[in-house]
Amino acid sequence: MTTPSGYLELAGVEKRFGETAVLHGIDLSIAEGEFVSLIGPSGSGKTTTLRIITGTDEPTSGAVRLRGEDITFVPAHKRGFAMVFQHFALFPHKNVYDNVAYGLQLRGTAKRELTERVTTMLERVHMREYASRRVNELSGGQRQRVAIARALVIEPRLVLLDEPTGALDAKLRLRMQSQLKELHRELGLTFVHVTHNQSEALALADRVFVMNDGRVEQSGPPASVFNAPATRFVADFVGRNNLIDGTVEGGDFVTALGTFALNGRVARDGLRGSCTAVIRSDSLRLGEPPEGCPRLEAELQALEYGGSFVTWFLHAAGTALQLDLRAEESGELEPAIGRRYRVWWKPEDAHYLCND
Amino acid sequence: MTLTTGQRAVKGLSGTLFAFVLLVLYAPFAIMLTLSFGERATAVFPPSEFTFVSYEKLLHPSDYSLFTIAGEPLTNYWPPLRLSLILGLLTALLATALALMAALAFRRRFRGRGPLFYLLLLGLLTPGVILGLGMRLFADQVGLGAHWYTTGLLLHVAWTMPFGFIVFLIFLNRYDVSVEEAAAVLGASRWKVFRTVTLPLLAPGVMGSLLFGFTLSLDEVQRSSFVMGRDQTLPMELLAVTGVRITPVVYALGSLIAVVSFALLALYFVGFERERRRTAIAEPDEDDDFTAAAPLAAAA
Repeated sequence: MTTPSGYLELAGVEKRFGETAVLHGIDLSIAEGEFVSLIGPSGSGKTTTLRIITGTDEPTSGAVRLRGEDITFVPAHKRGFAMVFQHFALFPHKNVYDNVAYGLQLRGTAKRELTERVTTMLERVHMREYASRRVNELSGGQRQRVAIARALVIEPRLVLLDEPTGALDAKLRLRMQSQLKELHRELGLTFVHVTHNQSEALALADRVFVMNDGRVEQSGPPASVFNAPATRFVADFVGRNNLIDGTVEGGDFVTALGTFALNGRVARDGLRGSCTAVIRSDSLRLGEPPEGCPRLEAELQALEYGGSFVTWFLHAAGTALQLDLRAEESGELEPAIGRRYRVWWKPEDAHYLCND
Repeated sequence: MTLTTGQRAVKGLSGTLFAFVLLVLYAPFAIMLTLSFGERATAVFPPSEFTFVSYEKLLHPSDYSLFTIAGEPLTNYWPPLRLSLILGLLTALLATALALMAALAFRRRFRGRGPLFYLLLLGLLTPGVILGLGMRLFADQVGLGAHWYTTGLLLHVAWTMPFGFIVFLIFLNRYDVSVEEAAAVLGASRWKVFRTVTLPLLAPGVMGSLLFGFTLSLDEVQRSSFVMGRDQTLPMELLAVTGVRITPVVYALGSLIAVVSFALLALYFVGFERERRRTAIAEPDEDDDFTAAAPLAAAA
């Protein structure tokens, strides 16, 4: 993996609370102007990592560097960063304008410049006409835009976003994502974004770091992480994948669902030991398979209608499978819950992860 | 809405009970206020005459010609009143500052947090007589003279501080610490965070704690009786005088204090309500956002 020249670097960052280790040595390097997402389930350590970057928490060991300078123990207020919180954390006793002006006031910015910068920033997030409103008169989306303006107006050396759209409904979330992307492009600041929402990370980030249990499991551009998950965890967390566990024995993949021929991939891909076959939910098919395609029987358990697609949730020998079909294709099959269907896939659509 | 007979009975009963509680709370004041306009020494209700003479006696304590009731104590209430006000004010300020510091400290985990918490609140449960006596014995041992500004002030602060502490705990309970973190990340030092975020957000609590400190101190007799030395606070003076003879002057003084207290309370509630509405974060109404976010969509 190539690491871009480090603007912000975490080196061997560990965090323990008493006996419990929350971070087991995080290494990451972020380039100036990059938009980076830390994704992972709750409890994976992404928020702790974020707090160590902002300085609201200290690592037990390891170092945080900005432009090569060690800032591990520099207090939060001297780092020149800014953060957007999930629940906004706006100052309830200040109006919109004073919330945004706060960081500049602390820096002793001259009155005229302050007014100009706050006004420009409020315009940028389309909140200028709300400048004198109290924070508790605003809707969720408006509060989030004030929080973003408050963070960006100081031109921070690093912008941290903690689940920035977590408190918004689905439609608003998409709108807010496109605005964040736009602000990142226009201002050229470095963004570190934390989320458990993988589709948001894939949409926004230049690079993603997938975290699990206090470690970075995989990092890279979203497309590469999405298309080539490096571990079983990443395959399960990112994208909509089916995971079939089994062992490679001779030239076959032996699973609880049946034995599938690997047709020479054993040698070519170096597969051995216990492996997981990863098959995207849109790569599973129904019906009569062509010669040489792996197949199995599975019982339909539930259907989810997602607009132009219908997701079939199937079950076979203790393994849950999901399969995306175009709506009209699904309709023609007249799906019946509880009926058994033949499921197959093309050998080349399966991606194997083996741990030796 | 139609109510069952049982529900109607309960409703009627609760209403009656509530009315009774209000009556018990406020009727004594109404009677005292009425009697303060009477002249006779004995309390006859309702009074047969109406006069301001008791209030005049309060205002001109050295005009002996006003004191015509036989055996009436010639008391000047102004010095003890002034002392009580000064002591109350100092107590309120000191106790509130200490209570705020303690409550902020208790937001963090530290060794001995649990036992210390109960130790702080123990002062509320200790019988006042014992606390006062203990303080007096302690002061004698260390050679501290008993005055209002030594043992008196110490004891009043120790007595009222736990009340302020509880008030702040309640306010901190629904307090979002992330606003302080937001301020810190934006560049505010710990002192700046306290000055510009914590303190303004806790302003209603500060008001509540001050009020507790002041009124509890103003009202305090049990503990004070041991530790004030030769200094007399208003309640101590009143207790001494009423032991001799109760005249309508006492009612006049009581009425004045009550009226001023009600006015202060009313002021506090107006201020508190405004502050609460100002600082409370209401749940956002997501429905609003489609119209509100429209310019955003248009600009995108």
